[in-house]
Order: sequence, then C-alpha cells, then structure tokens
Amino acid sequence: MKFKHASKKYYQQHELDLQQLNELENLFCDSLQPSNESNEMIEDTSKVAKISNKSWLRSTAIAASIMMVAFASLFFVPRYNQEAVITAIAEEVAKNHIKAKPLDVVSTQFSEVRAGLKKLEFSPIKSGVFEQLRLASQKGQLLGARYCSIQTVTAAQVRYQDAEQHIQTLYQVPYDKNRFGRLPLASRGESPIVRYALGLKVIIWVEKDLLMVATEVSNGANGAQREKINEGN
Amino acid sequence: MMDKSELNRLFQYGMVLTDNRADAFDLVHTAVEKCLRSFPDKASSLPYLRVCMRNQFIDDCRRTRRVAFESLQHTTSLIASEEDLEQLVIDQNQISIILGELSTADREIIFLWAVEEYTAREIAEYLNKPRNTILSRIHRIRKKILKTASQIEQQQTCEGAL
Repeated sequence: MKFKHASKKYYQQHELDLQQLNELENLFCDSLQPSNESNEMIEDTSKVAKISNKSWLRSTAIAASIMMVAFASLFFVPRYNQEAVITAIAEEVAKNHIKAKPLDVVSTQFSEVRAGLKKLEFSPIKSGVFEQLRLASQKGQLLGARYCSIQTVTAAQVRYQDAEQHIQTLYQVPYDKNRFGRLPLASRGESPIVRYALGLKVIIWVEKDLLMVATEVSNGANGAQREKINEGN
Repeated sequence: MMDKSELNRLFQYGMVLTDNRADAFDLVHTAVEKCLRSFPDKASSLPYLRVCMRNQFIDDCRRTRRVAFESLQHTTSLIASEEDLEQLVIDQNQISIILGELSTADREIIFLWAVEEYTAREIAEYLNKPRNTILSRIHRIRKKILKTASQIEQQQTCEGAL
C-alpha cells in the first residue's frame, strides 16, 4: 500500500468520542448569537479557507439539532449511578487543577473576578464553606479565575494560593440534580463528600444552588482538621 | 460552527502532536475556547485553529521542558521531492510502528502532506520555513521510514526462522 494512503488511513481512524464531540459543540452553541461585527479575511496562503457569514437561521437549526440529539440520548443513558458521577467529577477537577491553565481573570478581589467572568450563566459566589476550609489551612489569597467545565457544563474555576504557596481551586457550576445526582446541601448542614483523585483531595457540596467542588493538595494533618469542621456543620 | 468531520480533523492533528487522546482533545478544546472568546469569526477556520493548537502545544512543551520539535534549520545537500514520498510503498501492518518511530515534527509533516494534502510549499508556508528545508526534511523522513521498514522485516525474518 502506498505510504501516503496508509498514513492517511492511520490518522483518520482517530475520532472524538460522543462526550468529547458534545463538549466541543457546546462551546460553539454557547457562543452562537447574532453578530453585528464585520467579518475578517484570514491573510494566509491558498489552502486557508475564507470566513463566511453564518446566517442566524442556520445557527438556530444546528442548535436545535444538537438539542434533539442530546434529548434523545437521555433515553439511552444507562441507569443513574451516583458514585460514578462523583468519581467522574473528582477526576475531572483534579486533572484541571494539575493542568493549571492560564487564568482568564487575574485579580485578588472577588468582585472583579465575578465581574470578569461575563460569559457564565450564573453568578459565582464567595462560598462560606470554602472560606472555612481555607481558614483551616492558613488562609492565603485569591489569584483569579478562568472558565472551565464540569461534565460539559460551563463552570467557573476560582484559584487561590495559601500561605504555603499551595494552590487551591474552587469550581462553581449551577447545580442540576438530574445531571449530578443528590449531593450534600450546605444549607441543611450536610457534610461535603470527600474524595481523592490524582493525589489531590476533592471536596464536593452544594451551596446556594451551585455545585461547589474544591481541590487542594492532599495533606493529612490539615485534612483531619477540615473534616472536623465539616462534621460540625 | 464546525461539523463533526472538521472537529475530528482537528483532533487527528492533535493526535499527531501529542500521540495521546486526552492531550489531543485538550489541545482542540483550548484552541476552540480561546478562539471563540477572542476571535469568534475565525472559530470555524481549520487552518487558524491548527495554528492555535500548534502554538499551545509548543507552550505546553516549554512549560514541561520537553523538546517536541527539533530544529528545522539544518539542511543537507540531499533534497528530496514530494514524489519521493508519493512513490513509497509499505506494508499496511507496519504503519503504526513506522509512524511511532518518527519525531513530532516529522509526524506533523506527514500528516499535513498525507491527510490535509498540503504540498511542500504549503507545508513550508504553514511552518514558516523555507521550502528547501521542508524538502530536506522529507528526504530524512523517507530514509527513516525505509530504515524502520527494513528493521521490521529483518525482525520478522528472524522470528520466522526460529
């Protein structure tokens, strides 16, 4: 077989899975809106495609198709498994914590961070539970925040640094019981769920209708102290 | 908006760079996200997003101090033509081993040539390198492929004799 054909066949076998495809398509859907800006031509070589206008009608049709597929897929989702969802959340946020991608908003003021994350469909809050956790581990400072996602839902990742230069992240996303299952409510004094993933401690709870997920370096001494606070809630 | 086929093409490019499904997906996701945020009109452009992915990959390599791309500046007096690669015939079963022996830079050239069907000139423009540098690189890639294919055949001959 010609090397060219073999190479092409080899690389084209790699495809995104359904979840990855949905996640990427969601990025486009979130940004779809009528635009009053003029189009720009890409100043590149002959192989570069021209940017063309996307009509609002086509965008709406595509969004509707994606929603239909998502709705239809609900009937094919396996029986709900709470522990699997919790594990998936813990692994996802631990991975994002380790990647430490650049911040979209850099500020030590929470009001500025909140104002800077304009594309969220919710308003991030200063979490009382998280503040208690930070107090237990030598409170440091807010560094900023970036957009991310939890189980394909657009979320806020707020990054802190404690007095020992350890990074802590707090993820916030609207709580959807159908998607995330029954999780502990801070308003009812329920203890957060604690899991460990990729060497990090992951703490999960719901506060003011937002799913909160905190990640930090696993530390035995501080961990025991924080769990005492949780039991007292 | 990009369709499934275009997103998969980006993912395949990510696989060429990272050789890892999760990292390839991250590259695509980051590029699309950044592009939608900063230059939404370019978010449906495959070439633009590939450049974003490449830049992100290079940044990631710098952060982890990995050497992903050897210098393409070194040229030899032996310059190939694209036809040298076009004529190359291999055993389909050997393709993953052969591509695995190539560096990231070599795999990138093969991908652009074989999958995206770029000419050497277009590859040179994409990588911002002289065309002769790319042709020289193609010559070295061809030599590596032939060497690897020969080693595989020798190994199979030895195993058959045992």
